[in-house]
Amino acid sequence: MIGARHIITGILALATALPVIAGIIGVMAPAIGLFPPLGFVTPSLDPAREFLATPGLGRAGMTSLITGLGATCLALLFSFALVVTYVGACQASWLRRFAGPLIAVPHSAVAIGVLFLLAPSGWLMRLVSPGLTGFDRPPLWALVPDGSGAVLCLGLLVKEVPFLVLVSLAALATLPVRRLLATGMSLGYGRAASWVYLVLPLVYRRIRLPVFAVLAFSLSVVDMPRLLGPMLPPPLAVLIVEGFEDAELAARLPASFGAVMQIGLTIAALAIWCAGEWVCGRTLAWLRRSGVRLAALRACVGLLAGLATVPLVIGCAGLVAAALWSVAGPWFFPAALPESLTFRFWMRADSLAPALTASLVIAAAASFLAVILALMAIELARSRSRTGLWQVFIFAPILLPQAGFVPGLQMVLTVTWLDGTWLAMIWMHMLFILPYVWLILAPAAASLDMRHDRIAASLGAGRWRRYGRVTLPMLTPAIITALFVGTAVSVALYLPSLFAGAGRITTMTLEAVALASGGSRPMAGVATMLQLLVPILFFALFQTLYRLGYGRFAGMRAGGLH
Amino acid sequence: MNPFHALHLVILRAISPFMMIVTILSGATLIGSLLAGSLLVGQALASDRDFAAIREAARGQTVYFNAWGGDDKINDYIAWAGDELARRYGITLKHVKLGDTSAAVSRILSEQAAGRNTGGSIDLLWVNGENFAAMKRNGLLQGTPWAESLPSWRYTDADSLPAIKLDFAVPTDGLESPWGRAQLVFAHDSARLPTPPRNAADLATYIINTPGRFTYPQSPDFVGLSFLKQILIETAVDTAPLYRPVEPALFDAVTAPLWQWLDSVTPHLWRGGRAYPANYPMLRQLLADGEVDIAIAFNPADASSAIERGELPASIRTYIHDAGTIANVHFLAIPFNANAPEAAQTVADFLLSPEAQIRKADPRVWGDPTVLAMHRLSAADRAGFAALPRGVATLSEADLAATLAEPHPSWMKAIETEWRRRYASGG
Repeated sequence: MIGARHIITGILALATALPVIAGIIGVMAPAIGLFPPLGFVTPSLDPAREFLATPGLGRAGMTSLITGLGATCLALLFSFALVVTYVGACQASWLRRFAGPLIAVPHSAVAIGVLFLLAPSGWLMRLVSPGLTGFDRPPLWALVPDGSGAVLCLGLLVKEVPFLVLVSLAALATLPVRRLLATGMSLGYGRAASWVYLVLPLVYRRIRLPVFAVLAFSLSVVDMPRLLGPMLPPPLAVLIVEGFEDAELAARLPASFGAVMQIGLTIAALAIWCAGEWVCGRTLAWLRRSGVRLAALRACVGLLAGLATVPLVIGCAGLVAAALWSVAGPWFFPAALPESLTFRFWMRADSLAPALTASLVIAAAASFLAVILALMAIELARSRSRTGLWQVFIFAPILLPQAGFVPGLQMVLTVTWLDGTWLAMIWMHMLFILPYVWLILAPAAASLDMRHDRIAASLGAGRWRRYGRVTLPMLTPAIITALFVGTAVSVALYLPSLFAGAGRITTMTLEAVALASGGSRPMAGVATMLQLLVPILFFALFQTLYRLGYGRFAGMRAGGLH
Repeated sequence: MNPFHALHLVILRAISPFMMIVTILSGATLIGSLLAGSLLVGQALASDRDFAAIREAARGQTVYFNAWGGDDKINDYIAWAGDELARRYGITLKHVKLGDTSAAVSRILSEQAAGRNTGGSIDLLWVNGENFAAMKRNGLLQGTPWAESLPSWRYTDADSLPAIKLDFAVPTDGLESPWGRAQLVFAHDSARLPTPPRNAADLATYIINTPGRFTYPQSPDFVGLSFLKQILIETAVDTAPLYRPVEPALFDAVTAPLWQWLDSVTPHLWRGGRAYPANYPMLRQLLADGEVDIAIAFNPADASSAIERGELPASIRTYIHDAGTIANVHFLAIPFNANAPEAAQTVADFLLSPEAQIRKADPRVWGDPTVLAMHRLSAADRAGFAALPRGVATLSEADLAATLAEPHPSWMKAIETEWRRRYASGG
């Protein structure tokens, strides 16, 4: 048994820690002036000095912090409001069907959709012009791009509300929600107050890590602010990526220092968030102790749930617009619809078959591997082996800017001559999926009622049998959610695919990003549709699996993707 | 394989080293006599013979051609070249479509750092300007010059188009082969703006009188920076320093007129200068949407193509400034660790051939201006170029004749930083 544990630990370390350490070194070394390929071989503070001299750096950092914290806070409020309003009501399945596919929409696609909807020449304005407004050309005032970051928050919400709804639903599956609500209401509290006092704190405890991931992501998002603003200055993450994209290769050194600063900013934001958690927790405890009925809460929740549908509707409308653009002929302001439709690009879509296959295979294999690794790590943790350090490593891929992190990872593939192979591709994708899978599986596993396991043991079931017949089935809703999120993350990966694939393997996202870089709206529409295809296929697959396997258990319906 | 070469091989295998030396000497004598006969023809023949060996080595190789993939016309053209190369030379051409060239440069850099000196993942790269300068400076390109010994090089003329040997004022030293030409052109909607402003001063007046209807892509976007360089060249008192590396002491004085110009127009730009489009396709979109009156592009045929695709109204026309506009050449380069350098050269040679260049210049195919010199071509090829249609919004060669050379690439970074300090720091 000890042998097996060591082997598992070894596999985990080799498969994750090793490349991640290389990736981290790839960021940290240039930050302190070490970059041998360009002839920088002595440590120095120059990269720091140079990056700190970036004009507008302070404001860029503040913009990141405010939009990141604001978007995360609103996303949490909105998703809780939706859950409170719809779970237990007949519309709950509607919520899940909405949330699932939206998770799969690439961020850039959301941004393009929002831009096309809200711009002065956008769809909304076209629908009312010139009829209501008298405009035969777009007005000079504008909502997007904006300098305040409000539109950026809106774009982030389109992606984050569905994600948090989905993980909340998975968490609810492990809670005796009905019993808790019945308790609250029998004590004379309203339904909303019972949710807030009794259920949501438990849900929050289970989705805390995904919330942290949302916060870290909001701070590091690049493709959204580039389209939606703020631009002058942009958020910190955009400044850093510009450094890595600079043709002047030495600009990578200060950019690497920026990447280190970005980690600091993320830690600061997490600290602020935790302080907020503490205040909210105290307030809630005080309210609960003093028995405040919170009668007004129902209206508040209703209002929030109403507001929460705004980003969802905008996200979907943006997708409809993208779909329309992908077949649009000439379409100029103020026409509400394209003059004609053209299927020019779609006629040649058969050439994309290899990319589609590659995306499907890589997403499936990488998600599956990530889930197995995460489950192994969870079991190790259960038997009191250390996984603390390992956790630090698995989160590095989502905490560090990809442009700085991926070249370091690539060194491992290059040295081992694995670049351009399927193995490398799946491995690289797995590293980026693993944190999300861990975020979903670890809390689910932690909240398992171990009494089931003990009962099975008392009935004489061996360790593996207990795991296969008791633990695994109880984790299945979370596993299916993890697999789906994993495939969605995998499909959207651009830089890791470009590096690991080395041009030998092409994925849908590589095709889509290249197409979209031409900047034409029809092509961007096509690219969005291409990127959506794979996750939607997986969504349908997992949904069917779940229904086949668990449809007959009423109590399981709350969780997973069903 | 030519008979002389075959004989040479037989002898090599059969006879003693002494005889080998004799054979080589006689071969050298033969080449020498050819050279004496006609220097030019002899050189061409010699380089063709060397190149025949390269082509032979290239057979069966696969070239991973990393090139921007954002235009399906260009992608189709590369696919056509791939078919031809497979048929003629047995080369497999794989187009690795990039969203941005910097990603490929990053990959080469990380291969260099990992000690991958052969068998690299990139064989051929579409590149120019700053990227080329940085790669050349850091030894990321093939060390030996190759471009000027390509058989197709004879159709170019560096005297009439110096930019094929001088990429943004940096000598190419034969490390990249010219592929096409680009020139900054402005597009306007002739229905809304019949007579566009044709110099920096008139443009400023126009912007101030018509607030909110002009903008340019945000630096560090390539076209955005090119526009800033255009205004700099037009307003600068003395442009000579622009063609040397930036001297910090001179920077403020040389660029002062540019900042004056920008200070006067910025409040009147689209969105009051508080936001900019991210790149030129987005700017083109703004023109199509009627949000702005003028767009900027780096391909004279861009507007015509967009009209044809239905992405710009048919009333769009193009123009350039009276003093000329910035023009440059884009190139193909081979990384230091390319896996198939022979095949990569063969590809570059084919893409420089009159046949491939005529097809590329056809607006129905791509519409990218040629780098070849008409007077070096056969009458048939000249006729091929002359017969090409011009797009509805594309200027004639004569109208595009006024060009300005690209400043030294170091100016790009310096202007970018100063622009950011002045207009993008929120201060």
